[in-house]
Amino acid sequence: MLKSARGALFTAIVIVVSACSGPAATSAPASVPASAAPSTPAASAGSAAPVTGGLLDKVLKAGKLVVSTDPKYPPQSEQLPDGSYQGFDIDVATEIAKRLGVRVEFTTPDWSAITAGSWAGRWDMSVGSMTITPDRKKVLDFSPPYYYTPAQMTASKASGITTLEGLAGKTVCSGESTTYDQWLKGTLDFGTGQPLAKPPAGITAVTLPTDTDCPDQWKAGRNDFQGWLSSSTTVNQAIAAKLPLITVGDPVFFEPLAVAVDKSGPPDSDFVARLTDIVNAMHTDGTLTAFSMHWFRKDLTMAAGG
Amino acid sequence: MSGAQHAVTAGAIAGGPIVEDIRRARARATLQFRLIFFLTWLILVGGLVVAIASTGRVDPEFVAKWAPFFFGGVPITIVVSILSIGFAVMFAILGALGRVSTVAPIYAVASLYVSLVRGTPLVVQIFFVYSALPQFGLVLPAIVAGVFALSFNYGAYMTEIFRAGIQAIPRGQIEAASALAMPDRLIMRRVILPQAVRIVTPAIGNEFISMIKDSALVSFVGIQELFWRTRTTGSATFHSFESLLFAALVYWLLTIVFSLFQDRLEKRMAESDRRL
Amino acid sequence: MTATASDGDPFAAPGKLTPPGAEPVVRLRAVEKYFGSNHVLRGCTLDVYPSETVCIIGRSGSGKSTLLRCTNFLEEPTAGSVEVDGIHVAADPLHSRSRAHREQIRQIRLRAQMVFQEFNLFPHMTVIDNLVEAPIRVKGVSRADAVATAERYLAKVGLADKRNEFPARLSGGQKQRVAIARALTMEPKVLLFDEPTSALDPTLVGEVLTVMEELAHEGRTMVVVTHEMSFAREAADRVYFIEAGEFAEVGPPEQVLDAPRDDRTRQFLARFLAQA
Repeated sequence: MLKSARGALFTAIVIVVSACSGPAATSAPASVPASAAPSTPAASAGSAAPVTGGLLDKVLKAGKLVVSTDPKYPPQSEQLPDGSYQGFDIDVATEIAKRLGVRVEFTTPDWSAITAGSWAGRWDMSVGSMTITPDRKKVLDFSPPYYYTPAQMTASKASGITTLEGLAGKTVCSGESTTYDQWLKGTLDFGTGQPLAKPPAGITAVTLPTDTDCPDQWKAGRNDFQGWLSSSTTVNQAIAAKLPLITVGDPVFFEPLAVAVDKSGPPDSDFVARLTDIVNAMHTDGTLTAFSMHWFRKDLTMAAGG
Repeated sequence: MSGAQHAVTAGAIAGGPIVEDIRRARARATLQFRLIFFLTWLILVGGLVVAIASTGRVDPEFVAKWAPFFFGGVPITIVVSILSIGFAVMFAILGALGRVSTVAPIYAVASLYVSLVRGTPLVVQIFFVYSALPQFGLVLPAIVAGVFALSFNYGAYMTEIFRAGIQAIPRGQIEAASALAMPDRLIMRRVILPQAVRIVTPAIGNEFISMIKDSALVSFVGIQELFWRTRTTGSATFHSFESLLFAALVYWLLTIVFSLFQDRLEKRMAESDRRL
Repeated sequence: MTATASDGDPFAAPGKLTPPGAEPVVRLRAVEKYFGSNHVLRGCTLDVYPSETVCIIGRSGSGKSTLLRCTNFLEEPTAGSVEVDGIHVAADPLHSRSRAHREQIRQIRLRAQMVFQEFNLFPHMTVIDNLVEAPIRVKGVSRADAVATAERYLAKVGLADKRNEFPARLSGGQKQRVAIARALTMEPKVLLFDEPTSALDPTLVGEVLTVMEELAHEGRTMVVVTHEMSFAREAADRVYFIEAGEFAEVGPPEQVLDAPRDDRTRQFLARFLAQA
């Protein structure tokens, strides 16, 4: 008697929970881009029907595009008190879904799970300011870059360091599984064949789970490391939040950031082709520039530097 | 008899005044104890609050703005905990039956379950269920993976609790049931397990309270429960200090509330077992 | 396989209430029991006729309880055989018991119900549920019939009004009477009593003995291991005195208790003079 009542209760709870198991998914971002460029109707490069069982097929059939995002990074992605998301990446993802003719839904797995590929179909696409690297290319398929961010080195005010060279022999922090960590360890390779600037000599690289954990430690008064490397947009956020750090030197590299799709998922060649067309179109018709101006106050969508 | 002895005897015979005095004195002592208890808590917690506030790092506006969002994670935390403990009990009963079995392969499997699952970290198990199982073709939604990993893990620990409960049943119960010609399975189902469950209920209550805290680990697979929300928002806004403090406070409150429930439950169970 | 008269119990004879021409309902043949290297039973042969009451007395460690528990196979005899109501089972100390043999034991248990020293009621069930559990689930009796039978026997032991009580709320004497009713509700051919009053407060012994005497006088077949000499005198057709695993003296209560022929019996009774 007790068992069957409990069983019924569990079943009910499981049903309720799985119905709202996703995060508070809102398809519309909280803020509309300042100058919304007239979006072209869903451009279809080939009007051929999508490969059956492929990713494009799955997305069109479901009528929704599930996009992974990591809302710890304003202005690219952050969460609002009502649970919805906003940010540059959020706008880009929403626009891509719109041009595909489906609605967008966001999910929030761990960043390491996203960069590792093998998403097991839990989400379709990642718009997360992910840098294209040969290693990641082994497990993910990329769209053309949708913008470029400079990687900016910083030093804690407590360290007294003011130049890039001043960090020689010191410890620099970055986020786990980021290109910044790779650059610090000398393993970063965009596969473009172009040489990158080298990190200061004798640097020790440490990581914390996420980029913003590094300056947070400085805020908390811990000084286990003297430098922090991250994207300039994130650095600017930290400075705006009055964290105790300063930028040192020019950007050490520019990284191309692209939309990623899981190689080991359903066949994605037609999806990637469509995605490529959409991203290129968003470049040409100024949508991306508009988003960039709104969120970064400058146009980061053009390739610049090496 | 002396005058005092007379008075005591008279009181004992009448039964009235002296009994009342004792009762009142005892009530006063209890009240005093409780008062000092709360006062001590107030001072200690108050001191803690003052110490934290004086760091100047707590932004009340931030907390006010985000508190509703953080609280939104609490129902998920509770549901995950309840589901996980429920399935853990089922795993535990199966495990315990295996651990008391005289059939060698069943005993071996149950022992392996307990050893393996207790011997690997819970967080590793959660990631395994979420990331590694898909390699074998089993893709579970994040929340199912989380609940399954939690309950599979706790089931191993609670197996030993249930086993002890089963073995705590007096032999006489089994003998009486056997003498009534009840087959072994029936004895387990109708005599032993019902009694064992009552014996282990307090222990399960403890496990549940522990589970509430461990439910935070499912944030690693992207479930937006309390810990996930505070950590994410804290990172994004550089307010990790307040956010995590908030999370700790809420977990503490949840623990206190459920501990009270458990106390009540234990008191009620003790009452029904009370002899005349 | 029925025993021949030559290997039967030489002291057995039909009791006062035994229908003429009836065969013994219980036949224990040369039952031996080793606990490790301890030779507790050294070959006991005992016959019980229908409607007889047989008492077994002896000091602790003499093997009296062990003999009773061998009768319904709560203990596995090392040698010898047990027959109840025509169902014959030989000792199987190596436990190579086949399914057929286990079924035979089950049949014996249905026919020989036991009342334990420690009552062994199921604490998580009410009195009425204690009584009907086995008849319903083991014998397949319908709930309505089982309840009717149970209430009849409950009334017989004088506890009809305790029907919905939990055992914890009953006194020792009441619990034992419920245990007797539970045994009766199975409608057994013979009742086995294992020191039914030894765990009772002396003031409560009387109510249980009264019920047992009534049963004996009604013609129930009973085998009673006890220290209560008054009961043996009042109700027993035959008394077996067991010492060091063997029957030292057997006979009617007037002989064994009041005019023992064996020295060992005399020594034993001298110790229990107070209870004579």
